[in-house]
Amino acid sequence: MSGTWTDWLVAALLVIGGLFSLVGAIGILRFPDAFNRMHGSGVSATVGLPAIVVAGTIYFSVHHGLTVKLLFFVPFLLWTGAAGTFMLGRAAHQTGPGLAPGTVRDDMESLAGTVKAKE
Amino acid sequence: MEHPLWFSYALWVGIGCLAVALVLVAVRAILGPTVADRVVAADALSTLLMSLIIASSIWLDEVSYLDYVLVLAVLSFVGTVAYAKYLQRGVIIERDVD
Repeated sequence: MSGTWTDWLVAALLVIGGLFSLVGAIGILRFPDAFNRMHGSGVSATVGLPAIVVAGTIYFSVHHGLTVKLLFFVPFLLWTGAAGTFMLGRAAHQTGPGLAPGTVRDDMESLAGTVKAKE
Repeated sequence: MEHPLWFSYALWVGIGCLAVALVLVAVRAILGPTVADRVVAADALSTLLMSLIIASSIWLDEVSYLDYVLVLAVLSFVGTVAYAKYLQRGVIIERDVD
């Protein structure tokens, strides 16, 4: 097998990406409200998935003579993750804040609940 | 192509973590008290699915699955934005631009 040290790198990145995705998923399950859960979603989207994307790029570049196609995917992912989370957070806050009981501060409080939720 | 044994162990740790994470996020998508919780969980589900597709394509040593990841990324972003807009405005495509 050619390039064995790159295989160690691929294996390490796979394990790191899997563990970070698992941590993000535990956060999504256990955090108290939707805005905290977006933080858990961001962990798996900004660390877990790019680690696995880089692992796939290294693996297929070494073994198949491919490809930087997957690397173009990382900036797209960071951009769309931030934009989608921002839009969803604003919509969720304006259709009724639904904040956790322990929340100490809400700077957008005057806008909370100004839009009636469409069910 | 056969992977060496240590590489298979790393693959199984990664894929196992991703599978457990998928189950946990699916539980939140089912339980989630508000609509926003479910949309966050659905977004995270598609992210985890992209990771799982890449890890599986490394495991199977198969290049052609990687294109599906790009398609899934675009669809997941459009879906999240559309749902946020629907929650906020009640429509997705507005006809009268103000």
